[in-house]
Amino acid sequence: MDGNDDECSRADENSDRGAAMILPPAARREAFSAALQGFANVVGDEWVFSKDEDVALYNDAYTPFFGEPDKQHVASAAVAPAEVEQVQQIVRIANKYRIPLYTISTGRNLGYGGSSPNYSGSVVLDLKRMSRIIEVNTDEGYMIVEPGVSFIDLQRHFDEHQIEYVPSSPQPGWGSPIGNGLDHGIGGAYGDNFSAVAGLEVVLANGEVLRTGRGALPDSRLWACYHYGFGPYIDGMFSQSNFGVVTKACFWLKPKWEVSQSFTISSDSDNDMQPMIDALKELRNHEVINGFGVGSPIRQSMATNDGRRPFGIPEVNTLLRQRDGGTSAQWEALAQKSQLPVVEAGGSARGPAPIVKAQLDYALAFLQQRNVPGTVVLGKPSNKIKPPSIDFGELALSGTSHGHYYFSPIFKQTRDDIFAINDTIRNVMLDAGDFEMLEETGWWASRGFGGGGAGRDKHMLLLMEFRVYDDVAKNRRRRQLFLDLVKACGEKGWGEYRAPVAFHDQVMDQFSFNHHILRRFCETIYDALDPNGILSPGKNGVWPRHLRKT
Amino acid sequence: MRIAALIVVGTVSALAGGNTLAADPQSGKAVFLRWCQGCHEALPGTGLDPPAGTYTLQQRYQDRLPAEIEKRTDLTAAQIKDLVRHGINVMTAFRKTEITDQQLDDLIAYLVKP
Repeated sequence: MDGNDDECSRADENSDRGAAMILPPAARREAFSAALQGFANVVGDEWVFSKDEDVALYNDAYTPFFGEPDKQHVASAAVAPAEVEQVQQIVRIANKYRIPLYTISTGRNLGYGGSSPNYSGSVVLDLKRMSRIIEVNTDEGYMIVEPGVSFIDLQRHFDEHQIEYVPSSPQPGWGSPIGNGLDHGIGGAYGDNFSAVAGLEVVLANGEVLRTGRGALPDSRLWACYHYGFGPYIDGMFSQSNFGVVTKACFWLKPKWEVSQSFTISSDSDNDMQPMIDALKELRNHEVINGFGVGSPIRQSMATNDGRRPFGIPEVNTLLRQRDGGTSAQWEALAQKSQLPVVEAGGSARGPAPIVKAQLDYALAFLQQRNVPGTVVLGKPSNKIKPPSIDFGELALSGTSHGHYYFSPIFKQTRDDIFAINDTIRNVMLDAGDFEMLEETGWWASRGFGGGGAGRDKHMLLLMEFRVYDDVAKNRRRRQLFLDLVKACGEKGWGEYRAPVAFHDQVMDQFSFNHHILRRFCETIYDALDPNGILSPGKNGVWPRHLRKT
Repeated sequence: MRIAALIVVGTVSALAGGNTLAADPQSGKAVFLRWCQGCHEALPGTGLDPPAGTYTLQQRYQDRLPAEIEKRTDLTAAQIKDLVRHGINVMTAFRKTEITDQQLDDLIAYLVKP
């Protein structure tokens, strides 16, 4: 922040940003009105929203700042184009009047900011009306879509046209393949959805349209067939990014699988975790399994935010409250008494039934051959593929009336790292005296055994849910806890894979190698592409020059 | 090979907020299926957990009123408008690019029993 009092202040925990219905600075009101009129000339009056009641629809429904409207991230207006040419015109008008825009696809990034901007007072560029499925090529297995298409839309389209591919949807499925992919989201079919991107169309801050990869060739027929263009590979620059407005994307698709099947291996000793992980990694590296996970059922038995339900073992919370997190001997004794495993790992495969059978036969024989300790249980093959849906059941049952947001660092697939990050998190919670959070979240290893393309992954992902309550003071304490966790984990190399809008700056602060060269590099590019700082200022901690911290 | 070219998903772009047509319950049903059913389908639902809306309403009403909102006969236009545009609990508000004013009127025509 450069201290300009006329500016809407930059989002942070201590900010004194304006009240719920914020407008751009007073000095710019005339320009703001002119810009809105310009937008209306492009898209029609009905697709420019500036009445308070309409703009409020862009607030983050799950804001971490519930009950504190002066701290919430709010828009000043919204504009909803239906065509790429309209996006170009809007960006040019925004440049002319220096009006910041904040781009959303379907605006359903709930838990990470929803449709609310980083920089309060921005005009939301709502791309929901750009909802065309341009092409689904079933021979090659790719699609080209616009940002307003949701996973549910896609499923309906596939069903209607008997297309035997699977939208790689997170839950709920009203998010956008483009929005989710660009934010590095994870879906059931592909895992890392951005890894399925094979070319983008982007409107740059000056209004020009860029196509990446093969799309840079005139009238390219191979846009979605090959990831690269010629020269630097730049698709990644538009993910978690404010370098442009993505208006189309090519995705490779996964075909429906005939069956999926998983197995678990469990034991009553902490010492067995690493041999299990080693064996599963080897199976993963040889692509024998395509899903891989590990956990500690006894330690996780009281957590309520990972789909499990409390087992009613109060000693679990007693041990988690210990500074050392309980010794292996203590956990092993409790596990024996409770008849739960101390360690459980597993893998899965999916595809044609005979091949899956062969893969799992091989995997189980491999575990036996390597003398991996533990009891193996083979699950039943399943031919069910869960479609994208609006599946809020667990959240509705979780005791919050106002949604949630996520703390989600990446860590290594080793026993040492699993225990180290759990120790770090637990001690931050103990320092904060937040036993309730500790008991809700318990202990964490991986997301389970069937997860999408997780078989390719060489990391683990923690998804810790922070619920939002009526109690404003509690929400405030939880935000501070979130920031403490970001810092404590960041110092040990566990940075977030993705973060709520409210915490982008603090998360980016952790990526500090060589005096924050990553942020400085991004801001250098941003300045070159967008000298007026029009596009999504502050997204992922990248700010235009005039709004940077001194 | 199957190529589906330039297919517009949904009907949002055809119905702008200002162009008021007579409310159509059949169109309202389509809105319900697209935006509401995921949380308001019949128990036990088709997901891993019970549908959030129906389950919550069942807990709240304890059979004094139907938990499935399609079976309610007491809903008013004002209630539905308020819920769609403001949300309640973990149900979010819906923007006018998702459910236009016309589509909201259609939804009301579908859910409000004469």
